[in-house]
Amino acid sequence: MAELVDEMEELAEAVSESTRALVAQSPEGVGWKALLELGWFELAGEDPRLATGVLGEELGRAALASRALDAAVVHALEQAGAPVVAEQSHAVLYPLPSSPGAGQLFADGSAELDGLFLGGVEPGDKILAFVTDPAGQPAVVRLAPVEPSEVAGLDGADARVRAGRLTGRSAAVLDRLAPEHARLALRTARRALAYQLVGAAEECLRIAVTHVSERHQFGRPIGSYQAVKHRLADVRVAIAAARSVLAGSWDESDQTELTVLVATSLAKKAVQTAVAHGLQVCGGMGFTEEFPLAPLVRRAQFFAPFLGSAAELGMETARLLKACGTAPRISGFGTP
Amino acid sequence: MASQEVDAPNVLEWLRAHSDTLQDCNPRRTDSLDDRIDRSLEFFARLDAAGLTGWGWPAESGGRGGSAELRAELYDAITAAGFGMPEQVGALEVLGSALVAHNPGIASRYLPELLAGRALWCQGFSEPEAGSDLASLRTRAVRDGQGWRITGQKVWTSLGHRSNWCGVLARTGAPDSRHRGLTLFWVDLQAAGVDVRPLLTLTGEEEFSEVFLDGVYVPSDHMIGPVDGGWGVAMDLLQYERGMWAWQRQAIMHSTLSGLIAELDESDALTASIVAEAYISLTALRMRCRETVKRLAAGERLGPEVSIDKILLGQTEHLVNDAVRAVRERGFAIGDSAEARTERAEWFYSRAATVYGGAAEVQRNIVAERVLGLPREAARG
Ligand SMILES: Cc1cc2nc3c(=O)[nH]c(=O)nc-3n(C[C@H](O)[C@H](O)[C@H](O)COP(=O)(O)OP(=O)(O)OC[C@H]3O[C@@H](n4cnc5c(N)ncnc54)[C@H](O)[C@@H]3O)c2cc1C
Repeated sequence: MAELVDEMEELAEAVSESTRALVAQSPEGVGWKALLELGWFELAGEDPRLATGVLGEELGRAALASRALDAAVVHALEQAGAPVVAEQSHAVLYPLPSSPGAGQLFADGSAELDGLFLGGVEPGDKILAFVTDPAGQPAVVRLAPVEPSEVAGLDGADARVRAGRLTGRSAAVLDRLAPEHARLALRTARRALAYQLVGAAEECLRIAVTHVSERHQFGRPIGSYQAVKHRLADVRVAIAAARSVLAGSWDESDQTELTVLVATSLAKKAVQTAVAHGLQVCGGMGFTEEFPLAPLVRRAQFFAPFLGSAAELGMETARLLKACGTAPRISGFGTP
Repeated sequence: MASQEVDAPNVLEWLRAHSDTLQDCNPRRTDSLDDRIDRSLEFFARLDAAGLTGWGWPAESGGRGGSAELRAELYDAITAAGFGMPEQVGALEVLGSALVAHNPGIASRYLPELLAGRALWCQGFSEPEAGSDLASLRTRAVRDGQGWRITGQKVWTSLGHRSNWCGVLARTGAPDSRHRGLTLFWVDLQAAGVDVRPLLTLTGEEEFSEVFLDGVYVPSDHMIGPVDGGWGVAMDLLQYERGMWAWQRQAIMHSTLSGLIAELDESDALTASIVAEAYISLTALRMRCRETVKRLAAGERLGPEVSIDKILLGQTEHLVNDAVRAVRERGFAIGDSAEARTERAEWFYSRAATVYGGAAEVQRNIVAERVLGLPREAARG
């Protein structure tokens, strides 16, 4: 047992190292090819939790552009038997903030699209899109490839995300994935996002802790003041909360959807808490563009409403609780 | 303490199957505290007769063996099967592990008594002048022949007036020895020189007591841990107070919140979001404590990071009970039914969660200084 734990720790360390190296070498972002070369899909096949967690956290810390969400979605779909192949580069079209889908699917099989790609689109990418079906239900469809020229680049709150918007009517819907695959795709994207937000929150906290330990005012390090300490302690608590539920979300369970929803809410809260308190305790320095908090603050704002704002995720949680009729006990000990 | 394989029974199944016959000893939340205690004792007596208590406690100490995870499973099962949490399990978790680790002889004598529903314990740490600053406590223990004599006053001792035994932290070193001069004693509350007076609390019940000790004799073998080693034992025990107690509370709060869902109107976005936020925090607490319990069960010593569990507990208690108030607003404010009284009592009790077992601010200091490594405040020693 102890040996197994050691082996797992070694593997985790090796994966973290190679992921960190990739992130460090990729200031322009991590594309599909880089993930293939890293062996990310094989690792995800063996240990999806480690693969998703490490990649997400490292990307989150570095606030890089990436295709990590797309890769996670395609990998999970492939494993579940959906008609996608991870060897081929895919781009996923996500809903715009406060929109249920990246487009409306019509009864004749055509679709009116308006959604976001993350991390850029390459020519020849296979396309998946989160859309709303004629009955108003969420669905995922495969689309014919789009030309990168059809995609309008945008800066938004964070240009480093390298997001692009695809707008317009498209008749080229190839097919529609099964409803359970559509749900799987959404929770996979959310979970991959949650890891990035946790990574960003950790990095904010690290920067803030370093700053308040070094900076002196009134003859003392500002980190010795309780008002400053308690803010950063709250960040640690918020991150720990998100981490524990993320870890639990990999358990075999019939409540994975709810667990991932909760984990996503907690990750969003963690990064917002980290940004708010990080900015406050870093004072004027934190307000400076060249100070390392800046990219993380922007990243947190870009992603705040992505795949559900705090309010939307809360309402979705309430609906699921209502459907369960109880407040489910996620993963316990022994027999569930 | 590595988890021995045992063939523990499935408590949840058993409780569900015997639910009808156990209702007369279900410590229901709407019962008075005295009734809850009486029923809790009877409930444990029946579980014990069926061979269901004691799992997760070492056989050498009067338990039935197996991983401490089995204890957590029991608390979850009790509430999941629709029973109130027995009143004795809080002190059991807080003190039991300290007894097992530091005085197995005492444990094997008194643990079976509690597990069979024949005793209640309490924790005598806080004093009028020593709350957050526990190391300043003044209750003194002085040697007397083969034993000790303890004199002083404890306060806010949960269930003190109904308890048989109390873990008393007393000063055995010099008055200014702070945490270096403390020893933990196992004190018989029926002994001569003990006077316990219940205190009425905001819940409307006598939840805790004052315990006066006037030259109370305690034999030497009733020391839990070494002379002047009480602080280490107390810190050991606080891991359980913060981890396993929080696990018990999350089990209870899942039942509380479940009771609200039927009445929840999702089209009322404000209330729905309050309930959702409570559930989100509750799930975080559950998953966090589960990790903590697993680590405790594996024999790991947890460091200052258990303070994170305690902070999450306080926050979640507030959110869950605020959600009850939000959904049942009118009854909460003007109701006189047993249910309304209970909801108010539980709401008030939830406010104590950021005070007892180390107040929220003190926990934040610990996380900041000992988890994040921020500089200490100059004035504190
Ligand atoms: C319901 C309930 C049950 C209890 N049961 C038991 C029991 O069974 N056994 C037992 O021994 N004790 C028990 N206690 C006592 C409990 O442990 C103490 O209340 C707790 O340790 C806080 O001490 P205090 O009440 O003296 O508050 P104080 O220490 O006076 O604190 C008051 C406020 O000041 C803040 N404060 C104190 N020091 C600092 C600091 N350094 N930095 C920032 N803020 C600070 C605190 O956070 C708190 O908000 C119980 C308390 C309650 C409410």
